[in-house]
Amino acid sequence: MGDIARELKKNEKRVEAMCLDCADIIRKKMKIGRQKKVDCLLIYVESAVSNLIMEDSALGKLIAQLEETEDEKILPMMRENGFGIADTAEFLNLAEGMSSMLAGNALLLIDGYERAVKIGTKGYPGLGVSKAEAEKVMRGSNEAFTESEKTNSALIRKRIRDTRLKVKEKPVGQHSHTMTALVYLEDLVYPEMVQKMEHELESFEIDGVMDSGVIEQVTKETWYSPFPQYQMTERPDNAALAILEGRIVVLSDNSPQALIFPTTYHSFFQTPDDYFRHFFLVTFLRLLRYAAAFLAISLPGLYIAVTNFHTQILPTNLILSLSMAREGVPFPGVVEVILLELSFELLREAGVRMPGQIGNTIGIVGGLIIGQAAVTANLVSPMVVIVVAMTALSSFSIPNEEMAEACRLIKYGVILSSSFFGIAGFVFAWFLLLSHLARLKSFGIPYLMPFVSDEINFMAGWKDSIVKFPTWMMKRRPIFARRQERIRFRWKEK
Amino acid sequence: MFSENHKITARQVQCILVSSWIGKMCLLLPEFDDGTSVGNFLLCLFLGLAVTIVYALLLYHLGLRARYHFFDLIQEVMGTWMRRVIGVLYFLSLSIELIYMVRLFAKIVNEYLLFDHSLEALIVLIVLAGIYASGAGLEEQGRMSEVLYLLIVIPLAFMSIFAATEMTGETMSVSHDPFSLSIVKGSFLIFTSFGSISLIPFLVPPLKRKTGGRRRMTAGILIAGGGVVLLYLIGIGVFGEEGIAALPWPILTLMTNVTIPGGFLQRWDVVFLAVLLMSLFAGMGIGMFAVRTMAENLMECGPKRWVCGACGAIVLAGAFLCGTYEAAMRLSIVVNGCFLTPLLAVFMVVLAVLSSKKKVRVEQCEK
Amino acid sequence: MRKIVMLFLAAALFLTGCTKVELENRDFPTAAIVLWNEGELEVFYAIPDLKGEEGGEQKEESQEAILTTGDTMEEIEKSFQYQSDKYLDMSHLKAVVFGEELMGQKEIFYEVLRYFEQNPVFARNMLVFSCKESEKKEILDMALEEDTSFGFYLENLYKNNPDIGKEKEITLGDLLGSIRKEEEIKLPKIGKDKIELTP
Repeated sequence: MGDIARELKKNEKRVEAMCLDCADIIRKKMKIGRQKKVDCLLIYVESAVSNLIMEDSALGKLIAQLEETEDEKILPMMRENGFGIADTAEFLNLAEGMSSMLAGNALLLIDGYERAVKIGTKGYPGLGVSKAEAEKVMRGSNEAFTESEKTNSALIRKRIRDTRLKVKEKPVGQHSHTMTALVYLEDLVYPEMVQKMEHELESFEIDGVMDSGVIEQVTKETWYSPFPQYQMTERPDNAALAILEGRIVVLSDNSPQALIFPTTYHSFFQTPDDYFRHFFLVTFLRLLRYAAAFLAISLPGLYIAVTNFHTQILPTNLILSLSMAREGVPFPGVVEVILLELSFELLREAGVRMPGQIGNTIGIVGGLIIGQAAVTANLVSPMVVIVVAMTALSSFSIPNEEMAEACRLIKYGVILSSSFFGIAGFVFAWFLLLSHLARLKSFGIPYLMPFVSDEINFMAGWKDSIVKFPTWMMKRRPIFARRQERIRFRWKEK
Repeated sequence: MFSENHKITARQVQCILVSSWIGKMCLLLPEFDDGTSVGNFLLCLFLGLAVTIVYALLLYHLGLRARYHFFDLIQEVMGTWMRRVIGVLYFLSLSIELIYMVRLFAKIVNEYLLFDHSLEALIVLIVLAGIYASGAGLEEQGRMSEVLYLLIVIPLAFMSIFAATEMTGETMSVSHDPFSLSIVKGSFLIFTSFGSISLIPFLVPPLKRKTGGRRRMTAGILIAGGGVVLLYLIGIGVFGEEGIAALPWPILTLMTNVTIPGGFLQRWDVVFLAVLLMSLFAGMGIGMFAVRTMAENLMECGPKRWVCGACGAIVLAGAFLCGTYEAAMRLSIVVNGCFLTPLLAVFMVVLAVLSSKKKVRVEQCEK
Repeated sequence: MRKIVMLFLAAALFLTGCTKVELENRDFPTAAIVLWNEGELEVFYAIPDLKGEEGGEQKEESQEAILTTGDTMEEIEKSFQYQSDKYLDMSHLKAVVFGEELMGQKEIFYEVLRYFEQNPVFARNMLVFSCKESEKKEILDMALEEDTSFGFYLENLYKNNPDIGKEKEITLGDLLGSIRKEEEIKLPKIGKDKIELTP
């Protein structure tokens, strides 16, 4: 595509060729100017510009002004932006102009004017700012990201009103040209991290990016690890908090989830309202979350190890009860546990996929009735139902869904290992797991920080780890921020 | 960024030493209490620890002189051939120690946890863990040890406290024999059981900050060795002198006695053993990493993935060839204890002397 | 590399032989009575026999006392295993009752104690008692009469009796310690009419 021609007819021909069979792209020929002698062509995606609101929008007002202006004054005023349009840009290249139009704006080509003018419109239809459903908190904002990258960056800007907050946009996807933005605080972040992410985004070609998850999967450092290496959030306050720690947020059009990097294992056990509540309570809750993660991974494996190999651990009364409960059950303990775990996964998946009320009902029906029926029919023992239920509850207590999914997956490895080698197999599985976590890193930051290597940050990370200190004691930022910018709180002299 | 800067911290060195030693020490050291009185054995423990600390300090100083890698210092001072010879000694010494550790793991698990289980399967299990853990770099080993350190030390401390409540004053009397060669022999055996102390000079050059390194290293030795001494003393308090001598694994038997209020669990020896097993896995991981590093140095190649598997195969073959735990222990005591470790110690002393002389010569030339 | 690791793992798994026994296929003796009779050891294991729920009703807990004889404890254990359709899990043994005649046979008695001491399955805080071989029948009847398993019964005698308490317990560890120090120790006696907890 070359430069835009002064003659409208030439531009029109090229536009028609590009938009052949695109019924949703409107090419509206108009005559503007008081004498109605100046030709122009307005191009826009039909659903992005509604006729009903056109009169009130910047586009509508511009068209109205153009119709009132003397013909000979139109071009000079366009050159000087004399019409005072706020959200506007000019393109010398038609391809760039069309790309901007496809992003949801209107493009105006005027006969005799060598540039295409982009006028901002309401954009594509989408859900507005709604309530956060997946990340519920007891205290704090309830806003969630939308599917528009522009709105999302505005939601973050609302919380960090600083010109040092940068929003670097980049289209990704050969066909989708999905607008992706890197949002960060310039003075806090390590520049090489931004550069690395930019390089990552340029390092692949893909048909389309339908969700930020695609970017995550493609740019993940350790692709085979089930553990998430980006933190995903639907909450603008969570994203803003991460930016204030020196991290970078990736926003993507059509995706209500933002990616945050770098990330650590501990990030997935923090919630935004941890910083709005009493430190003592937060410490208790974090201990609970870590205990939940441990149980989610270990409980079924431990149950198998203890009941099959090391009965001496449990009190005799309990062992006798368990033994009695297992009378008549046709399956070995391992098979019982795996069957129930898989059944639970099926129920969970069915509950998520089914719409609304039916999904809730499936959970109740499956959990109560099918579970009870299985026990009564002696297919499984009651203890295994309790173990599986506790495991499920524990995995739901993990604040981040992806970390919970990783724990649910790892659990099967622990079950298999324990079923063959008892407690030795359990320890083996955990050794491999910890070894794997020790190797993971996210953009140069060890995944297990602040539990490892935190001397680098003067053990500041420990003040916001499992035990949370009061806000006024957390004077240093975490390791993500630039070394010179680690102080985030100080008292003013009275 | 700093996760790949090939640097470790002094705290990580301490964690590496403690997490990789404490399990082996708890199980191995009481084995040396053979025919000697308890008082003398305690003396051996203290002497052995003291000698280990002195030797460790020497090694630390040697490590400080190396700029990037300890083998570079050896090459610079003693030449290429000596570097290869010392490399072979290291490789053999560490491999034998790993073979012993593998057999120890299999024996303990078979006797205490999985009766009637296949020993071969247990051997393969721990070697696999070692192969996997050795595939990581030094920083990852440090991080791994840092995480395991608290997971091992805190439960051990708690269980020791509860075990101590079972002590009776009557059994605490400790007899001792007059000083004899057996004390020297016992101290030497205890010194050699800290076999992987010879890795200290390799851990010093990558230290991010050298200050505090000596303190952390000494703390690591004291925590590992001191922990065993403490448990042994508790064992004397619970079983008495004759009782502890009659038990094959007194520290494990000690935990069968432990009852924690609440009655939640009936027996805690399995939990204690699980913690010790984690330490054995950690020791296996660090040991295999060290063997891999030595092998790569001998082959003069960079990090290669197949080297982990090859070293694992060597250790596995060695463990199978030994046949029994007793044979592995004899191999460790005789070959490592009586030959390789003293030989390495002699080389380290010679290296220290030669490098000091070289340093003096260089300083004089500069003047 | 990964293929080699998988191969090893598969080999390890196949080598295990899967010898674990399910919970319902185990017997958990809670007490053992070890006597000396006509030149050989005679051992009774008190095993709680829980039948489980049927049609919503819980059956009563009962006990059985299995008698086995042999020259050594290892032989007796093997002999019991050959006769039983369930695996004998000794890790919940709470009390051992030694016959006085057995205790008189020093060498045999020390062998029996060594069996209990060296085997990690047995806890050192197991309670120990003594009894007369001649009162064997009455003691067995008493053991089987109790509502709870005999081992629990003996344990609860100390645990739930505030006047006596856990400090007065004599455990296997205490017995072994006294024998090593060549000190006299009197074990609590189980007689045909009563149990003397404080000797």
